[in-house]
Amino acid sequence: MRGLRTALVVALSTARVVRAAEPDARDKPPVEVELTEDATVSYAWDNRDFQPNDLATVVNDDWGVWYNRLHGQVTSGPVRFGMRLDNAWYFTSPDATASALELVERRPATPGALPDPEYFRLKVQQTGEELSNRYINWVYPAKVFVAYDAGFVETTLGDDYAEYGHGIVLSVRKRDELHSDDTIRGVHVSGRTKLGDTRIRLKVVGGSLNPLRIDEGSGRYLGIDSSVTPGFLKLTEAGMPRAIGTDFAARGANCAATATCTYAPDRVLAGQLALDFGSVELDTQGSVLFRQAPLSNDTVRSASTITSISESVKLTSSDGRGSLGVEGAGQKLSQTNGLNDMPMGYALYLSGSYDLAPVVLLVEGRHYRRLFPLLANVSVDHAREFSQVAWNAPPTTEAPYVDTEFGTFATCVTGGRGRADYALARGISAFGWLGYWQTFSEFQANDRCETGREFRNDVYDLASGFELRSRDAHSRATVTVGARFDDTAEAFDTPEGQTRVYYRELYARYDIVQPLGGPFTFELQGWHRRRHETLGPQLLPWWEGENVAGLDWGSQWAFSFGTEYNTDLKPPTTYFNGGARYRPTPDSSIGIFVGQRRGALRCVGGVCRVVPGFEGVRLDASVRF
Amino acid sequence: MKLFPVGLAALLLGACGTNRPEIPKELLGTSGASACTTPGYPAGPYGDDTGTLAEDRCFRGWRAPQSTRHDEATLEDISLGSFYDPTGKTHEIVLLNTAAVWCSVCKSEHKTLPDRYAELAPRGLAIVSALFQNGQGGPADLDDLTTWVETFDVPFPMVLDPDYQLNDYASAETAPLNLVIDARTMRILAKFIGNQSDPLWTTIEDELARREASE
Repeated sequence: MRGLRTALVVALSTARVVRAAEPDARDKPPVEVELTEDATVSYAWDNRDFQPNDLATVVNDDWGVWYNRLHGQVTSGPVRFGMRLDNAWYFTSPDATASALELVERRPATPGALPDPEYFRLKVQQTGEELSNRYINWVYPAKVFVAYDAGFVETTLGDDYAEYGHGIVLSVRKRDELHSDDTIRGVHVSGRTKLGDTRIRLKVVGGSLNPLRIDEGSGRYLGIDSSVTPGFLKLTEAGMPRAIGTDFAARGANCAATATCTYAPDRVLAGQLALDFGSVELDTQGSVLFRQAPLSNDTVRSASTITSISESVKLTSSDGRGSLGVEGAGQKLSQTNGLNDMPMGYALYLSGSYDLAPVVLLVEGRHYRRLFPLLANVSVDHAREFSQVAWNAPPTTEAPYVDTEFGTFATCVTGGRGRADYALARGISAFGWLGYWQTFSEFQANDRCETGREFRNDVYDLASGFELRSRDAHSRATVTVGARFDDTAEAFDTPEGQTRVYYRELYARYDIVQPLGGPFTFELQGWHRRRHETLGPQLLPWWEGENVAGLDWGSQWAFSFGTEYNTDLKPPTTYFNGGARYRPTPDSSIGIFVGQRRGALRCVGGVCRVVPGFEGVRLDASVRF
Repeated sequence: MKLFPVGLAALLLGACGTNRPEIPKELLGTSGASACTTPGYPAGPYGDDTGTLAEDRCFRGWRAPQSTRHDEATLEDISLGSFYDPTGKTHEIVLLNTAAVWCSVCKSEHKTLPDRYAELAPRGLAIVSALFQNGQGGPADLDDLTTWVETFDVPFPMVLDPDYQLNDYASAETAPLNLVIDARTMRILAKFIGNQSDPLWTTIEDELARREASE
């Protein structure tokens, strides 16, 4: 309750401050005030993923949260001030004792298993530790900044996004589809000028990396303590969620020894110089990531500094029909503990397109060697939901929805994809692509990127489809069918004998919008997949997919009905959900979602996040002033 | 619109509560069954992070799967404490590994473990692997263990952990877990979540080399 009261007091006082800054047209310069309130109230009941003895499948049931994001921005001439205040208040959450009792009650008879009292005590302790950094009430300044735009120079103090080049050296930004919103909290300066016909742009940023601290899907938070906030981090981490001590997870001497201390803020210094000659653009960019003692012992997180530099060139043909982009990058992981010192890694990325009306060609290629994701220094052990948070996003050359790059596929890979779009007639086009990659880090861990046959997978990805669009663009349909063939270069053992088949997939995707007359529009989206992972849970292929049917009623109402399924061995296999959204004004909406959604790895352009299964009800409200 | 805040408040207030139940008497105390203890095993407090002491745990499995008939009759008690070696005479380092049938990364890892074991066991490395879940995510059983040790021709001790006792150290979904333990003290030297082959084996080889140099 204290968290709730604090949130309300801060929210209301912030609102008053904002109101006080409203413009007085007579004698003051105009002040623009923007206030956005996003609230989510959700309650998750049993999501049917129970597995005996696995506490994680019990403590993700029966919890409810009010998650609030209040974002205010005041603009006065060249000055902008903004703040986003997040709060999570869990009005009900699982209890360690109750969860352990459930595990006891639903425990199957197993030869050689622990006696019930010992088992119960073990599970109470394990569950208690698991819950020590989940479902904890917090209110914190998720984003805060003040910016000054002097025309040729813009300076920001506080949170801002940064993405340089193709995202190989640095990509810190918001990704709505994945509910991630990462920023650099520090100093950002960007300047631009012109020398003759050449436009010059310079960007410099330095500060601490600021991921969202609460994972909405799991109720887990990232905690810090004073041992990981030396120097200026005391300022940038002021007010952020802290590590706490509980009956099951005592505070240790430092962050690494405290189970609820799960983030040691990374610091970054980065810059970009861009020279735009018109048809040629040259960009030079680099970043240095400074680490603290690692909270997880993998190769990337145990590096004390990671230096990345790149040079990119973009050429545009004089007729504007063709473009070519190339980026070459180097990446060096430095270890202070002397362990696992890595040779320098590098990357070469190429993308080109040409409009040969009626055909448009697109080619992308990549050659990466020891190119690591700049993983945030989080404790994977105690905050696994944040294990994918990274500060770069190298291009994948894959279709944006691909989620089947297993292992550390992109760390050591060569290949690319070519796509052609053919306009058959006005509003009708067909497309197809073929991709081929050799990866040496998918089948088994291979951080050093050794390129022997024993490490190699050959991956083919192909698809074709068509797009229909009415003249007024109100009616449209995109249908894609595709396949993926992923084989190891050398055969490996399975219980069924030797094979080289590592992964297979056939799929169909569609996105159809059709006006029904009057104010009604019908929408249909789906993705249906036949999958086969030889080393996965089962030897047989399985089906997995989703379909959402929607009905829009004018611009104010929208209704949806979704079904999902997964015939993989882990239950459940079917999911149903429904939703409605009402938009009383263009800047406000209220929505409800009721039902089930399967847990899955969701990827957008190579950036992935594990989304846990959900079953319950969720209310969303958004108002903008 | 005006009803929304009221309904929201009512929902929140109505949903407030705790879920803490009474504990049945039969779950209090101890079962009286013989506890898993290894004489002389270091006393607690125990922990689950680097630098802390690993608690002794008991499992059922095969100590030498390659030379043992794979049936229930040959299953034996294997405790973590049985690898405790205060003098370092037999073991310098214990690698405690977990695996699950649904886990493709675990399978990839187990393809390489026998070779690593053959190379480093003479230098004092002990490996014990615990199979904890089957393909559906349920508790692993004897059939799963049999299939596993035969598929990967496991040469080191392999046990069943159907209760997932090792959940102390890592969540099931992040499998495999690799815990590097000092056999002389049973203190956790390093913990690796997921298949972290390079840093894992570098750590083990460096630690073994350091000990060989100091002898």
